[in-house]
Amino acid sequence: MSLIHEIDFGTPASRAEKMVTLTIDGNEITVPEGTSIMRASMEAGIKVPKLCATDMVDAFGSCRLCLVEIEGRNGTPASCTTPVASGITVHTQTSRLKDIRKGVMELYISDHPLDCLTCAANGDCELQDMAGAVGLRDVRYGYEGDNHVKSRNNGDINAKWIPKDESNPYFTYDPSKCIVCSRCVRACEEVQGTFALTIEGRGFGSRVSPGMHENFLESECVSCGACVQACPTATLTEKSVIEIGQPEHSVVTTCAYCGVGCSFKAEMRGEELVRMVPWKDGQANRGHSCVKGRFAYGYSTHKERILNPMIREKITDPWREVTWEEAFAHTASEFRRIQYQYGRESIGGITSSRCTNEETYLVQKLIRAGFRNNNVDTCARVCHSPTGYGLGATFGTSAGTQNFDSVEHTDVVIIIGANPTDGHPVFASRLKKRLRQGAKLIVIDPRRTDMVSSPHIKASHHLPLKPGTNVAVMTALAHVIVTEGLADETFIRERCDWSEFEDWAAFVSQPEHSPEAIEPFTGVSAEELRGAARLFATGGNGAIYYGLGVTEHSQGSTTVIAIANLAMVTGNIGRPGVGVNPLRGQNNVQGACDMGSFPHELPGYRHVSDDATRETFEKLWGVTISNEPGLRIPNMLDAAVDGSFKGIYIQGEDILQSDPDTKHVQAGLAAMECVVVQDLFLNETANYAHVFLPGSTFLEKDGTFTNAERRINRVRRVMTPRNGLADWEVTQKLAQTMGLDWSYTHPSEIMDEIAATTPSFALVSYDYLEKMGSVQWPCNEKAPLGSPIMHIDGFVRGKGKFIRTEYVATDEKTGPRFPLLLTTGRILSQYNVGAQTRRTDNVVWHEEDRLEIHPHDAEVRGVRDGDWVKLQSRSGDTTLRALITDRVATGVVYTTFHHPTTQANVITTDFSDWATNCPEYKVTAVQISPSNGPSQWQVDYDEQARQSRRIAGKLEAAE
Amino acid sequence: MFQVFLQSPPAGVLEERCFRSGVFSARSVPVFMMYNGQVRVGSGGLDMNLHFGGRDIGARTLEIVTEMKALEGALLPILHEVQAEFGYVPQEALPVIARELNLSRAEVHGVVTFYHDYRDHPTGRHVLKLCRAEACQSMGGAALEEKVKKLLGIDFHQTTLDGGVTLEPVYCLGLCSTAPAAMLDGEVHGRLDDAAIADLIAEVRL
Repeated sequence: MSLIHEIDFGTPASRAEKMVTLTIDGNEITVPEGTSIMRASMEAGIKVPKLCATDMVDAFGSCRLCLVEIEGRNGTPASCTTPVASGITVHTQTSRLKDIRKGVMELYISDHPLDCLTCAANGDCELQDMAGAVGLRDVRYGYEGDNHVKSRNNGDINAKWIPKDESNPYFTYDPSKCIVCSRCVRACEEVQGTFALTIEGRGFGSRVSPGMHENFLESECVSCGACVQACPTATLTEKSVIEIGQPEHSVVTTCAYCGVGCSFKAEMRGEELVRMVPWKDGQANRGHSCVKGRFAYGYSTHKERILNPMIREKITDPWREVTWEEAFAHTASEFRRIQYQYGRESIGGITSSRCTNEETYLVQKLIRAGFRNNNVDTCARVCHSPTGYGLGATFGTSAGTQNFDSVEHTDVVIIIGANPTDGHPVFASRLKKRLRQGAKLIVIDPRRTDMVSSPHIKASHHLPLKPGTNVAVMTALAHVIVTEGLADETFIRERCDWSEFEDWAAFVSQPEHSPEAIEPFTGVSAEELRGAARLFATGGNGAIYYGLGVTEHSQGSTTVIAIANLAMVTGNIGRPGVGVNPLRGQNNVQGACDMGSFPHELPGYRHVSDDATRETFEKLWGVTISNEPGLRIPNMLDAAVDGSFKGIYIQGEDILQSDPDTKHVQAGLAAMECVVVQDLFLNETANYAHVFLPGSTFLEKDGTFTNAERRINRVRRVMTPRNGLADWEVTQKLAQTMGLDWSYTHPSEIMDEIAATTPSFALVSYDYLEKMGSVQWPCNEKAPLGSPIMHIDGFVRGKGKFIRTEYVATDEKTGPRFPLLLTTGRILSQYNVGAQTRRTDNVVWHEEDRLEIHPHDAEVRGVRDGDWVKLQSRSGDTTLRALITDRVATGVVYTTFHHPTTQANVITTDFSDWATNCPEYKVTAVQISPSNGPSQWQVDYDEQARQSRRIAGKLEAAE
Repeated sequence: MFQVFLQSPPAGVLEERCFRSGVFSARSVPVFMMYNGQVRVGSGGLDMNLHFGGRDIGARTLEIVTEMKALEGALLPILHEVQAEFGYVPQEALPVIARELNLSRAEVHGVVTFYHDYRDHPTGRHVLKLCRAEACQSMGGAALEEKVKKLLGIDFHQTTLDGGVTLEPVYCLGLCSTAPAAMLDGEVHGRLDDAAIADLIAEVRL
């Protein structure tokens, strides 16, 4: 193993198709038109010295080191800003160029510290490399006089010197080492799209400034790390590199946070992780990252991580550490006892969207082949199950239609119920790049998110609808398109069922679906809505991206269907730049769904009632599989409360914190006799567990994750599991203890079994992934290279199906007692229930969940910014602090759910999607009132949690 | 927020590194803090010559931006107008301009600090700029500069104690044919000799 060095071509690749041939240093080379001479040279293997150029940003031409001579042209043009031309002859190394470069380097070094031996970038410094490359031997100017290097000049304070900024928890900014190449500024603008950095001043006084000469933490910086990656010196350096030193080997793996599925190089020293660096060849992220994937991996070594298996008789007992063998034996005998006593259907399990495909597959296999029932579900139940249903019904597949690269060809984007700058930051950066190139944007969201308005981004239309009225708004968009004759009839006649279309068109054309008719209850201006519909129908390639604001409603599935209808009626399916794209929340929620985690589906979305599918698995596993769907998570909890469901195996999910109506979840778990939790930490659900099996992190195991674009990415083990076993080994040993005949020696064997049984994965194997980097399913004989874009020549189900979408208002209504609507979401620095990110330095950006409330609503209730407020719904109440902002409309309040003490789900109700039971997180009628601290329920809960986390023989960890 | 002008900094404090400056009265007890390598003047018991509160600046800036944001390349004209309004470009104005123009604070800060003519503190009632470019220097500009400094009792980038005049260097007014040249409150004056400059200064010291 060695460190992976990616080639820096200096400038981005040209997309031109026309090729140009030129001669560089005697080598003839052919490159696409528009390529820079610098890039063409690098492709021929000739490194032109450079400092301000890097291929993640456009050429800038400021460092004057990459100069070349071109025969027949005057002067010494910069190779980064000079495009190739047919037939030219370029010299990159002449005596004239050597002298110029040496002179330029001399100037750079005259204002740079000479502390290379003790510098954090030693061994990874482009300035050092270039000094070597140009043969710098002497700096004739000396180091006295004006400089930015020394804090004192001849005893006096040096006004030009700026001290190191260490405010960001993950990297430092040392202006004394800065050569003002602007790479960080351009990376922040072009790659991340935040524009948090600038060059302040002019001439020799020029310095990189975060915000208005602020420190990094106070500035607009979102800590994505692009600037750190771009910096050619030690000016911006990861604190981990400063502390540990340069890495010596690296392994490419996949981030375990959101559904974008970014590829990273885990750069290591021995078994110590030095840093995570986004991998340029990563096809989802194309070399970009966000604060979570890039920096927030510290949870894997957090002191609260549990490394030994534990059991206890009652949940009021302290935990007792035991050996793995004892834990497996205890669990197996308990599950067998419960099944013997209460019947085969009395136990079940939950697969994890954070674990690998292979691990998820094993858990559902354990349940189907070991527990011999279909009581398996996954957390997609509470997020994207309506996507599965809605897209399955209309198109025939339960997944997004595009790859992320598709956004580069999009002309009009609709974002509905998603906040990509916070939830899917790397995708948001790619989208913002396209928007800055001129694509138009329509945002449908109750909040004014950063996509509506932020530096260089302005939505053409923002439709701030009342939470719960998605279907009405989507149907009204279709109404405008159909009644104004903007439908793509050719596409519909060719690809969809015409009679179903006619029926649907008649339905949406009814006057009660017009924008004017729905304005009173949706709060969306009819004129804006008409404008948005016209723009989407006529603006070119139209793509729809959506998130949980669509699915987590009582009409979640209906909205997904309405989205699919909208894409079909405008002909926006089956080519780059269009499509329907769910932004999936967790790293492997797509994979967990693919792997048969639902009670009614076997791997590959095949219903358990399908005899042929069942037979495949029955033959392989040597068991009979029930043709009746098992219990969903809410049904399991209901059954537990009723006394018929007694044991559960939960891998890597915290249902107590993430599922709705916390009190009901509590009651369900408390009624069970054997709750087995497999996780990194004693999460909230573990407060009700009898067996705790320590989990392993994504750094400690091999496997695959499938991201939101159906891309199967390799996860590679970079260190030994600190708990001793990878998660797939834990499940396997439990299965073996229960008497199952499993003998996988590596996750690749599990993938081979998946490929052998699941047609859409037929060609997937670890060898193939090694060769291809990653593939998007379906990957089989029909699509050996995978399927970046689906439904190209026709829908998977045959003809696209238009389905009527009648708006039915949710039963959760505001009234005199609960006049406000609560909706929930997330924030950039935190992830999901926060189990991981709360245990990293990301807490500096988000210490607690706050309740966003409009100034008007706050004023009438006497609430000031930062006050404690009681948030009350029909289900329960909790207390948190208020944040007064006009991002939310009047009548709407908003909070995040990253911290267990907030317990936002005490508030949410048990209403759920009609088709899939996906809970209605996004709409809860609430009242708020001033308060003076945590509610009694919160105090009791904290005490109960503290008690149940005691481990015998260990002092309680000081918080 | 307040604006104070630092007139005679205590020993060890470099005026050019002060984060803010303005005028404070004889009763003032200034508090100096080192922060991020900058000297900041704190608010402890200061009786200052207040110009505008933060709220006023924000509100007035918003009016200016709203009026001018439709212009093509609106940022520079807006900054000119803000400077005309307040006498300088207050830091508090920048986030408002950034938000309204869909720019980042950093970008606006970068532009403001690039141009010498956008100031981050108020000037005296009059601004005298002496040309120090080559042609003026060759025509006795250096001697003229000394003369002016002596007459006003201040150096470049300083303001007279009464707040009357601010003296600044400028690098070419384009009046090389009538060197040495100066600019007083936007009006140019050429062929300056001792008498002419004395007249100019007398005019502003009235």
